[in-house]
Amino acid sequence: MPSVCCYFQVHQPLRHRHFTVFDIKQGLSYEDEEKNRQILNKVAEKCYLPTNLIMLDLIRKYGGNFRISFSITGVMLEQLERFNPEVLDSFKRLADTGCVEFLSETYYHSLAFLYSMREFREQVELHRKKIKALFGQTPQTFRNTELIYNNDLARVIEKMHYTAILAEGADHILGWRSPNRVYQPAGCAKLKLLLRNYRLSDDIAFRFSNRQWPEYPLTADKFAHWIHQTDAAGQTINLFMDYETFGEHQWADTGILEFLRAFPGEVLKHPEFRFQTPMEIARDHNPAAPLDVPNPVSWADVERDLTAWIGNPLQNDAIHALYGMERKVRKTKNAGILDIWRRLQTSDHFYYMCTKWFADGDVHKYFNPYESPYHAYINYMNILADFSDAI
Amino acid sequence: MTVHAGIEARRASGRPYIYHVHSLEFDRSGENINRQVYDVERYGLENADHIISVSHYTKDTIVNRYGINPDKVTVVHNAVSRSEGRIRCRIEKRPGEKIVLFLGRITFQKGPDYFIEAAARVLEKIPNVTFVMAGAGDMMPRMIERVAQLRMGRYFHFAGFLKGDEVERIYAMSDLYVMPSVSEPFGISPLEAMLYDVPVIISKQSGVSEILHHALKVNFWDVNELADKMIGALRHPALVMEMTARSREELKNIHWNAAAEKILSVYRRVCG
Repeated sequence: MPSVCCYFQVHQPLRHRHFTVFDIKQGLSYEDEEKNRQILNKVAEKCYLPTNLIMLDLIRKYGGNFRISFSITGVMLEQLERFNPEVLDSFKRLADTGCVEFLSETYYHSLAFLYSMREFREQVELHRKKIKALFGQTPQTFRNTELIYNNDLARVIEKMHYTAILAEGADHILGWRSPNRVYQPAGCAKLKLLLRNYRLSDDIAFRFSNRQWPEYPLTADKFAHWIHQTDAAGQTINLFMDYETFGEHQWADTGILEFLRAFPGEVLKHPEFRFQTPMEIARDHNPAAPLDVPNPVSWADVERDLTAWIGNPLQNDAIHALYGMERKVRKTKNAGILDIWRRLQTSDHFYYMCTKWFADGDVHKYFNPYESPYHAYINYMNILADFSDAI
Repeated sequence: MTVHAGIEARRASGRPYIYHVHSLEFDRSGENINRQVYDVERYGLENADHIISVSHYTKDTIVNRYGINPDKVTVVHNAVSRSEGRIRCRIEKRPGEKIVLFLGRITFQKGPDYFIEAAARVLEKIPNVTFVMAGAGDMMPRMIERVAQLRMGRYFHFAGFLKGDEVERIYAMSDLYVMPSVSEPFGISPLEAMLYDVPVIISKQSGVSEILHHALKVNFWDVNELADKMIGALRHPALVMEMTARSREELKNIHWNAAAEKILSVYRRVCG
């Protein structure tokens, strides 16, 4: 029986305030509280509240047959607690249906796996606890920041007793193989690997409102038809995308919310198809083959590598300076300082310093609150200088 | 000032008259414009068969301040010449010494006063910096006075008007080039600095900022911001490395041939 697996990433970074070299040692906070609140509330109005409501309706309408999963970052959950508890409540209501799986990730949406194993484990643990406390679930599935993945990560995650892990179904790791299969990570015995079907996922996430796209306009029955075409038994079609796709990246006036309302019904018209969450797929499917991914792969840009965050001298300088402070930070034994250091790890800060303008420039600019990657770097380094002084 | 000659030449020859704008009275004088000069410019713009401006920045001024139909104005950005015999000068500097360069006329339009105020703020944070102001102009005496008043004469050199290889030498010596112009129709000098792998900070009130992605851009009046970016460039080698490497790539696509092609196509179109 083929399955459709929907996972939505929910994240908003804590954007920094404008911080010049003259602000160092002035005892200022780093985050732009007002701006973060405004953005969160804006996205809540456009996306989180209406989309959660639709999801709840759909789950009720189709009984247990429409099932979804979320990965919500710790920094996002904290912002919801502070700025918009209504959204948090709506996620809790979704959790109460029993049809929603909440995934594990690093609490601070960080790149810690690449720089500090201790820090990585602690952040995953923090996030696990947070999810348990808010939604009453102990996550069974892990997804790393920006879907960054390799063999080493899979081995660590298996030892942490997860049953499934998610990654990008990038061409260069799959070759001729299909993303619609469950794989076994190289070096693992139990862990199951689910790969994003980037073509179908991006048809919704990126191309939905693109009038130049030959398939425009994308309707739910057309999309369901594409899914039904891959009807061989044992297949799983993994649709992974930012939750903000619904109403924010794709505005409501594109028809994205109507698409969402109609989508489960169209898929379920085919009696063979069902919706499953990642841990259910891991439970029900045997791996088709082992998959060897020695080098890190991500879901970003055309390269699907790490260059969106650590691809140029600015990013490398900043991130090494940050992780170089770990020992000093821990030595303070000060929970407040540890938390500030961890907030500085959020991958978005490094994404803003990306200079890969020309090929992928549009997406980068859309998400970048800075005028240029150079401004982002200077701002970050000023903050780091202030923080370094404080410890 | 050649406007009348141009219009007269059109009358005599019966050929179209194209006004190629490199600078306007608003650039030179801010809001305190000389009315007579403005009237001549306006007369020239209104009567031109077509107008070429060196930037969108200048085109906006032509449209908004002179009431010209935007369809009549084509933007052709300037470029930069690579002198054939350019030697990569290796200059001996004191260890750790950094040089920040201002090169241009010392006049209201070029914003030398903002450069000096920002320099004072930089010196609060980094002691070993030398600021070079190369050029001459009516604001020079006042600028020298201001530097003395801020007691930073020993960090400041007024190099006077430089020529040819002296200009090349000073570019090659510099660690950072700053163009804080109040109003710059284009501004070729940052491109020249980039030829020497010098990172540049330019004001947003410039035409050249429209074509450069790997320069730091600030509002000319924002002294704090300018100083912050100067310190950033002086302190972080990674920043300089990335900016200069990317600028080198960008410069490859900025050459006079492309500008000439565009101008030629305007001429062809106007001459029908």
